[in-house]
Amino acid sequence: MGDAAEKPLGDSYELFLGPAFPGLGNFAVKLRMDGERILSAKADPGYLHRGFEKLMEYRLPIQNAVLSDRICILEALAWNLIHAEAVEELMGVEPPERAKYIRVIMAELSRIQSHIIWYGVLSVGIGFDTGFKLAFGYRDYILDLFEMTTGGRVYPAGYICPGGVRQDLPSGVVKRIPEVLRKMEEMVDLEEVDNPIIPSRLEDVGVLSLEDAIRLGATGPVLRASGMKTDVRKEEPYEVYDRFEFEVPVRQEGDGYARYLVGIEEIKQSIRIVKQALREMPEGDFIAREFRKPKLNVRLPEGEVYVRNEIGRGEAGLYLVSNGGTSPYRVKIRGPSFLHMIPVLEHLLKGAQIADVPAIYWSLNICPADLDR
Amino acid sequence: MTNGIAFKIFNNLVSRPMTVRFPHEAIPIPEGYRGEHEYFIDKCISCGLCAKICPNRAIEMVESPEEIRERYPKTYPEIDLGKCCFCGLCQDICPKDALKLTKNFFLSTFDKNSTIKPPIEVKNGE
Repeated sequence: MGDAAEKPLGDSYELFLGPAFPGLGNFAVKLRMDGERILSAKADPGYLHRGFEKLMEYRLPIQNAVLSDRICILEALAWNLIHAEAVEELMGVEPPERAKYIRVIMAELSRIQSHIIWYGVLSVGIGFDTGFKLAFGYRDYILDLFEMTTGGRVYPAGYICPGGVRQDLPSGVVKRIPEVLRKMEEMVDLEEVDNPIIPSRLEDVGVLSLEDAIRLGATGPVLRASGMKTDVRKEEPYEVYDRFEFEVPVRQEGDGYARYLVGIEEIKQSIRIVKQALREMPEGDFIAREFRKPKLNVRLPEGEVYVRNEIGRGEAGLYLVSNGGTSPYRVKIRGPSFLHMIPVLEHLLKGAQIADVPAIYWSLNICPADLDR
Repeated sequence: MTNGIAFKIFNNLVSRPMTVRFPHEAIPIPEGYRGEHEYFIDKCISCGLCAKICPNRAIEMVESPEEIRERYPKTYPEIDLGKCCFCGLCQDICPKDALKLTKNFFLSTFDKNSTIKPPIEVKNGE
């Protein structure tokens, strides 16, 4: 690694990966190559930029709830939740108890399906296509639940809206969730099958030390795989997370395989949370009375607020400023993938082999959509 | 172990655990699905709330065609399904339940103009 970095750049060449390359998903990396070894990497985002922060300044909070789905396609409900929490904190509204449980169930199901996609794309990145097909097949069971609850498979259209949730959890869904969770346990068993491909491609690949992880701003599963026990759900519990028992998986190795194992363990913990939430879910209202019917003239009180949540990819945040109008004055979205995809990825790619690029890239559990937002 | 996997592979080959043969059979669409709009012009009071709340500005309040303007003198929502994101806010805000999202999701088309859904088309047969 040291030799490669010191070598003069005379006979090196530049390799463009992405952005229209299916292996990286709307994101580009410029690699300075010496043969097959990467001398330096430069992340080049921008291909998927949609300007949410500016768009949100022109819309009402209820319209922004619909827009917040699109921040990250793979975890739409988690982003819904962050936006709803920010607006509620600014307005001083408390959602009903039942809504909080429904939100936790939805957010955790969203985390499970996002982690299953992570397994799928990581598998295809290391040349294990079966994993990809398994993952997308099993993910559909959760999408069926989303379709029954929110009316859309991928986009819930602001299901978790300021004040609660837009519709009650149908009784059919409550009955079906345990069945789907059994399927997810089956999927976890399949992920844990003694498969030599995954450790042989991921062990000692993309090693991120704890010191570097903190310095570069890693959060979530990436930081936990490097040896730090951290989870916003435990440290600063939002909604009703403080009422559930779950563990925060930690591993010390910091390589791709450690991140993969942390991901599997997190699916198991999410299944635990959903089971507990289903058992304890109270009856009652699912949305605060003043939000039951969408209104056009709801004013956001003057002030600013920052909320942070633990989503599948790490720590996500939303900063909302209002000067008393119906739309926010300024919105800043903190996507967890931003730091994973620029500093962390550039750091890990330096000195790696070209064949390891997809393995390192996908082992970070990243989503170009919430980087570019 | 190997026997188990071989059995599973064979079983999955014949049983199709996850898929259906789509044009012949389909997975049923659940209640509350957000598909194409259904619009009841006789319930509509032309308040224009649907046009105001639409996040994508897909709804425009237009006058009814010349022939029936005597019967429908106000403005009515014209929905551009090409802009619509099927969020269902128009259905939620409508005070008279004149707009409803249906289960129809077969909306792909080759003709760009056919995405615009005029308000009166529903009652055209009269």
